[in-house]
Amino acid sequence: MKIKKRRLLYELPVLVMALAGLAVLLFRLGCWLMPERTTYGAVWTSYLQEEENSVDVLFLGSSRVYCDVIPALIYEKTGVTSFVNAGPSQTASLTYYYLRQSLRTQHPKYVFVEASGLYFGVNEGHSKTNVCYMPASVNRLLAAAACEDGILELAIYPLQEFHYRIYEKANEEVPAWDGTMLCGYTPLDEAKAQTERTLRLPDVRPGNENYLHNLDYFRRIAALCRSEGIVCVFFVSPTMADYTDAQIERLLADLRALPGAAAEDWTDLIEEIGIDNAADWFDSLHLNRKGAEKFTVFLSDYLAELGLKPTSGADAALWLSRVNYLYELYEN
Amino acid sequence: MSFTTFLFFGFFTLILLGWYLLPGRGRRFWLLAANYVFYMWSMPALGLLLLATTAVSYGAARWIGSPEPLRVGQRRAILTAACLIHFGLLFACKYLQMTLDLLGRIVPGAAGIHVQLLLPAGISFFTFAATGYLFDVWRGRIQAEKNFLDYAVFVSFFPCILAGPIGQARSFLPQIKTRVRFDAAALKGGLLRFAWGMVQKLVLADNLGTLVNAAYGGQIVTPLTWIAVILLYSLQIYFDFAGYSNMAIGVAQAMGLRVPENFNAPYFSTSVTSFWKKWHMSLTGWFREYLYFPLGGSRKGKVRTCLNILTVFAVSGLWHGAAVHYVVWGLLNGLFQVWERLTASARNRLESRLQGPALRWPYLALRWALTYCLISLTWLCFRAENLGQLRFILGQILGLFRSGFGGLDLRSLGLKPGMDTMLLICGGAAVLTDALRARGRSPQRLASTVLPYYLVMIALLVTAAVYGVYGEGFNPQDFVYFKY
Repeated sequence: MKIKKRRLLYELPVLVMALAGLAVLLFRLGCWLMPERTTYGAVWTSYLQEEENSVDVLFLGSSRVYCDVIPALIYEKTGVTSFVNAGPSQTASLTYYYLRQSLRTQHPKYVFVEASGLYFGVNEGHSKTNVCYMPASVNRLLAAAACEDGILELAIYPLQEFHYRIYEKANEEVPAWDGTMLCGYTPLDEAKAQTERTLRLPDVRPGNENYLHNLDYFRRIAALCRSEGIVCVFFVSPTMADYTDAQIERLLADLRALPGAAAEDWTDLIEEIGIDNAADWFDSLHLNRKGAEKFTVFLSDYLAELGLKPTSGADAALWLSRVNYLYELYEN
Repeated sequence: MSFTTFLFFGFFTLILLGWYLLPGRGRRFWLLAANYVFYMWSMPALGLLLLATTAVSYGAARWIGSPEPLRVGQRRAILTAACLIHFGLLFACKYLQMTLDLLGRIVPGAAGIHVQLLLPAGISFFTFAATGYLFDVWRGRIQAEKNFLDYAVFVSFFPCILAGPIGQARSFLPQIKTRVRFDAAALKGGLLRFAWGMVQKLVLADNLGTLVNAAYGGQIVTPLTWIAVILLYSLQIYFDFAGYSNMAIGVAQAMGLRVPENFNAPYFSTSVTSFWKKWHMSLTGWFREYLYFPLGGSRKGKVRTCLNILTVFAVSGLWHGAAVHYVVWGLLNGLFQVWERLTASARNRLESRLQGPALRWPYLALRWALTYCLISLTWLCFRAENLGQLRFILGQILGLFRSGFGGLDLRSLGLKPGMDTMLLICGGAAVLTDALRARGRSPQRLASTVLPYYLVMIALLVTAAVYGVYGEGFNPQDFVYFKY
């Protein structure tokens, strides 16, 4: 059964092809077996379906963004197209690599980055989701490498996490919501009344250990936007009331010091926006649908004040159908 | 370090490169270092135990086989002392607590003494490999190895150290002394065998293991489901151990080395005696050579032969674990074989009357089914946590006389829709592979092809990757034989 050297030479290309084919097959299988994701952030499938360079404003950050910002409503109010490409508990490094990957298909005029990530740790518990849903790319690998141990392995070999779903795939339910219509927004219906005390209760998580590390990634975000000719706005969401005044002051000072970036503090605007503490919160960190509507109206006005003009080539029919979809969703 | 991890794949690739590229002595140093890194990966201190076992058996063998003639009594004393050290270590690590527990039942003052000693992985395997070598030197079947490096490579050979196959110095040492030339067919064949072992372990054994573990873990099931679980455990332990053995043999084969086979389609057997000639062959071979034959084997009359069989299987039970249910398992296997030996002539007479396929095939099928059921019954004693659980399960099964069989409900044990089909397909492939092996036709012939080989390899690896039980959030099962 000896194999002659000459035949071995012929066999080498087959071996290389087999290895490459196997690697691609296993990676694709892993992606195929992942649950379809249309809401709660990391909605890359929907993002990549957007027509190239058709998004005016890109929102990045944590669940405070995908629960609170409604792109269809922004379009209805201003004609500006936007997308929320946030992720659950998205850390600063992940936000940076999300931005890098996002810019491969879109070139927005504005990038809004929700700033709570500045106080996040390296591991906020959702790295797997945030990384595994990213498209196959160098950014995916770099994002994984910046996360906690084990995520890089998962980014290369997602089957490790999702192979058991082979038995569920056949009976998988279609997601309740159409992600391409929501553009990254996640509607939350329930209302949980909040008091000044519950909102002001400082979250135990924020700490300073990773602050400088995160600030470095925010600096990179600002630099990338500047090099691409994009206006970068860091914002402190009204839902960030759980951070202490000192934390927010430090954060704003540091972000405002970044070259070419603006930083907005909206924590004190709850009353001005008209958010009703009894009816507009889903929990102490996120607004529900009604609260999100009010915040989005405020955002729309802010965008209008910036003088942002809608992209002339935007698919008006598509965006109107998104607005209709949103209202139908609310009615149902 | 486990075979079914990415870490091992990287480790093995590195070892292969060094093994084939380095010159003779460097190559053996490389393999020795690899063996120790592999063994010490989870607990570095264990390397000392392995080194001690190696040094003791090496020194004793050199002494026994020294050129200056020793008296028989002296040689025997050296052998006994070395064996006492080896088995003393094994006893201290594995059996001390059981002995103290038993003592506690007899002597009230000794009750409740707990000695928390670590059970080093693979200790039973490398201890047996080292003592087997000592016996071989003592009997003059092999010259005492002069080169400590080569001997240390034999005792610690990484594919076999954790769960066998138990190596034989007389066949292994000559292999590493000769230059192993790169053989692509051997490498491909070894990797094919490794991939098939992965499917057996991750797909068949571990998926069956989730069902079996749920039942043994306390899930309330009907008598019929218990019967199914017991029959399925027979398959689980086979696929688990045969899977491991295939991976170990495959790794060695990829390096151009041969280690003993461990299985030869055991579940095709139509008697318990025949089953034990095909199951865990490296261990049964060890017991036959170093215990059964010295006890007199079958040469000292019927009664003595039966006693020898029972002794060997009781010791085999003890080797597997320091608990009474393992001894019960061993004795049951011994008793079945004694029964077969005592009824052999009657059976032969019956078989001579069963002429023609119309009678012979149903008879063989019946014998096969009976053998499988008896072996499964012994595995019940093996798998039960203790005698209490064994009694409980038997009580549950015997409950069928009061309340009937009940339905077969494997879903409640975790059998997912589609998993049964997958298990049937992979199980069918396993039966086919064993059938080929039983007929002396090795699937290794695939290694000399190109396209079919790579297609089969990809199919095996994808099957293991998609249907295997592994990864975070699951319950990956350790190899069953790692704890022995």
